[in-house]
Amino acid sequence: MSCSLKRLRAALSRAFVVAVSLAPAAGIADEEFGEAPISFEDREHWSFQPLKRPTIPAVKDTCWPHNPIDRFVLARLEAKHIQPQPSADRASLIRRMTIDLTGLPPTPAEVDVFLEEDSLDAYERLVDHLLASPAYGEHFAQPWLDLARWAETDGFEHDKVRPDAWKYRDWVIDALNRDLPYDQFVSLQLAGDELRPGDEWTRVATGFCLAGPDMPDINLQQERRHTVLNDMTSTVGSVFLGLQFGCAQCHDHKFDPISQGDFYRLRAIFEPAVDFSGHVFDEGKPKNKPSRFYFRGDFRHPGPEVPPDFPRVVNLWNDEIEKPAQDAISTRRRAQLAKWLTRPDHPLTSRVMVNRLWQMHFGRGLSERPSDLGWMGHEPIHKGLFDWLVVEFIEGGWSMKYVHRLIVTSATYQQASRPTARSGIRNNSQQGGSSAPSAAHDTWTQVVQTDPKNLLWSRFPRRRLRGETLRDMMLAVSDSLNRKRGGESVRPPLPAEVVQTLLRPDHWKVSKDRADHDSRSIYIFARRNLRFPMFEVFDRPAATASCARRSSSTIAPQSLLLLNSQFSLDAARRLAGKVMSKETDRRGQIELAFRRTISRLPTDEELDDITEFFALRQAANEEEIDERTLPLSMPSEAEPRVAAAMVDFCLALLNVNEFVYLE
Amino acid sequence: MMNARHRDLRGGDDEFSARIEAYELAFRMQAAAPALVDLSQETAATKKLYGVDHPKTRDFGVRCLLARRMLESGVRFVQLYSGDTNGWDAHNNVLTNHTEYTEKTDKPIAGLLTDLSQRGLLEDTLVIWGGEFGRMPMSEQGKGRDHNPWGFCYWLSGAGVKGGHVHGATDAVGLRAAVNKVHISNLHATILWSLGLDPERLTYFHNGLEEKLTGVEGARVMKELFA
Repeated sequence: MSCSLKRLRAALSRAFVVAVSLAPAAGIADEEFGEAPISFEDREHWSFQPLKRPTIPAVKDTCWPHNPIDRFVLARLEAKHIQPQPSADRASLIRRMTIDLTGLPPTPAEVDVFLEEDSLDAYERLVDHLLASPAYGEHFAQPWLDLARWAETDGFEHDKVRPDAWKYRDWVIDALNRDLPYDQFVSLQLAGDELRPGDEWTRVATGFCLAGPDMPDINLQQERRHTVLNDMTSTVGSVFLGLQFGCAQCHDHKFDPISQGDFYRLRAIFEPAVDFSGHVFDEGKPKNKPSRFYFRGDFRHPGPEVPPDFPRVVNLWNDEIEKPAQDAISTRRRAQLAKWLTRPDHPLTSRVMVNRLWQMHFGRGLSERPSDLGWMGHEPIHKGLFDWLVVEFIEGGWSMKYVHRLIVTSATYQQASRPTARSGIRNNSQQGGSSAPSAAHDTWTQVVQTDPKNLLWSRFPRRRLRGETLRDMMLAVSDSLNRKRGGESVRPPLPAEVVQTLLRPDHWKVSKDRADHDSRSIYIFARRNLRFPMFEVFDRPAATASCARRSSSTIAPQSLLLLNSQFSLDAARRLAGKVMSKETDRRGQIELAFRRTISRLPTDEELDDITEFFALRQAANEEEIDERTLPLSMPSEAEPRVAAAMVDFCLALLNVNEFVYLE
Repeated sequence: MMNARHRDLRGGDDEFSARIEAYELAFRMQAAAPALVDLSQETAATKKLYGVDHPKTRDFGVRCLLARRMLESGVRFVQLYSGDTNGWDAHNNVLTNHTEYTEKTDKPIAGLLTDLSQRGLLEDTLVIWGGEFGRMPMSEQGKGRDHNPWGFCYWLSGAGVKGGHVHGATDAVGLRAAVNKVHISNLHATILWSLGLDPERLTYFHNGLEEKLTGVEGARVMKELFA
């Protein structure tokens, strides 16, 4: 209670200042703007607290934990009398981990090897192997590109192409694969040009700041510059500091201690760098144009000059931005921002990223709104675990792979995502195997009832895969994925009705090389005005603003697309062709299709259903079989009716929930 | 069957059930769509009514006819576009542009209203015509007209809306709304009310607030538009 009273008091004092600063100010540049000082209460918020390594809690069950993550999780579960779920079976684990770390499913051979390995470190070796795969960077680049509101066109009516935008995408993939420490990852994106002058590849990193939408043909170029700068400031604030700075462009933030002055002082750091000659920074000679405050965020109402400065509430050290030397080639304002953000004792930078990394594996961060660790965000239940991970992150040299590894090798991550026979046996160890399934369900039901939203991480949270991953997986299971890495983006063919919605038909020029059509999703051209339909229907964000967490909808158009698109049909035809040429008997073909798509064999019950399905399909198909529904490259002796049924069967496997969800 | 078994083995999950349902819905849409878009069942007279028989009006006529068929089969919201990307955006020559697009759409719209009316569908269907802005009264590049966000018109038909009634007016040159001005939020409120929704009570949770679709300043339902 006292905490919320303090908040209210602080918010009220800000409200008073807002009223003052709304005094008429049109065109009066020298008018003062009011600004409340940062109070002690303002800095009491959990995410502004200094970092320190927390004590690892004691737990009763000392067998379950693999690493300290688990001790934090288990301590909370034990307090609620919840047993954590036992480990998922090994086939589920290799599937979960391979998809989670690379965005691609394990091959049947990889599953076999993993199941046969008895050694304790097989799991850890698999983790290292996956983290070292180039597919890792290709997979984790997308969430970062969502944050960067990155696309390869301007947006708005003309949606002009930015021919070099793909280089930033490749820079992100490369940085992730090389495990570029996060402090450098941040610094180069803000100030690569200042930190490593003359290094073209590093300059590409600054594409982050200018990756958003832009309207070059707007009537007033002054307005364009204002909009781009405000978007940049808002994005930097939300992505690196996890605070909704954008709210403060028109007025002081209503809840967080971010004043409008803080916003325009942060913006002033970027002002010398924006000149629109390309979509990367190149500051050149510092321009002496003063930076200003803008009343109500209106570019027509400039206020007093403001110096570049760090946001006060998290500037616990009163760091200041130094003036450039007379002969400096740039102001080095951004370099100083980067240095300030990546101070090891900065309370936000590392917290924000660790939370994002946790979200990548569990679908939800330790704090639920990853770009808002302010007052409107969620105070984490697991503050100890959060800070422990953050301290590990910094002491581990800001290595993102190190944090991924800690997370995926934890028992928390390896928990089953559904009732298992073993969870029943744990509960009822004397009763033996036969009653296990129902006992398993009882234990499960109890866990779900006590922790319905899985806030305590009492089980692995299932999640729907993103459209980009589904597409890659469909290509992979049918042996069609083109593993070519990097370079200019590709444009697979789209239905005519979709292309018709573009301003000009040549806005979607299909890639000439057929092999390019099967590239990984990360390499598909990102047109702001035309999201690739398969990605859009599965909630890809619009790239108009930074997106920290995609929504996960369930809608009929997803079913229509996954079941009817030419892409799905082609994947099913290729998969059917593969299984029919590799296996001679029906059962072998069915089993291979199962193993390729969902990494397991069918149960007897499922085999019965599938046999019945083939019988029905064969009986029903009296008329001529359309060859467009037959497998690609099937054995010549294959009976067309059976072959067509095999395509349908494969198509069904690409649509089942077990394929579409990570479990 | 696989999906249902998969779900049951996981102790049930609303999201999985929803996804199974989404497939059922997709199937129903897919099963209904071929007949719905098959215009061969329509008489020559009906096609003529919508202008489907004429090259100029065929495209929008087909859209209007499809709209009627959708409404008949229970579709609750139908949105029709004319001039798909920047068709009506008459920056260069307003006379040629608007002449072309009004010719393309006038007859099909009249056909749609007539047909809805004669089939008894107009009583409970609200037809809304409009765009996100009008055009300026003064010229751009000589014969063109730029966007006008200050004064422009909408028309409504059906669902009990008074016929032949004009609400409000612009100033003498058509630049700004001047008489009985209607804020766009009031139009939204009126549409919601006409659909049986209370604009004051219909909210969605966003950014920590229960937000109304009609904004914070309050919007007025314009009941005087209805008979």
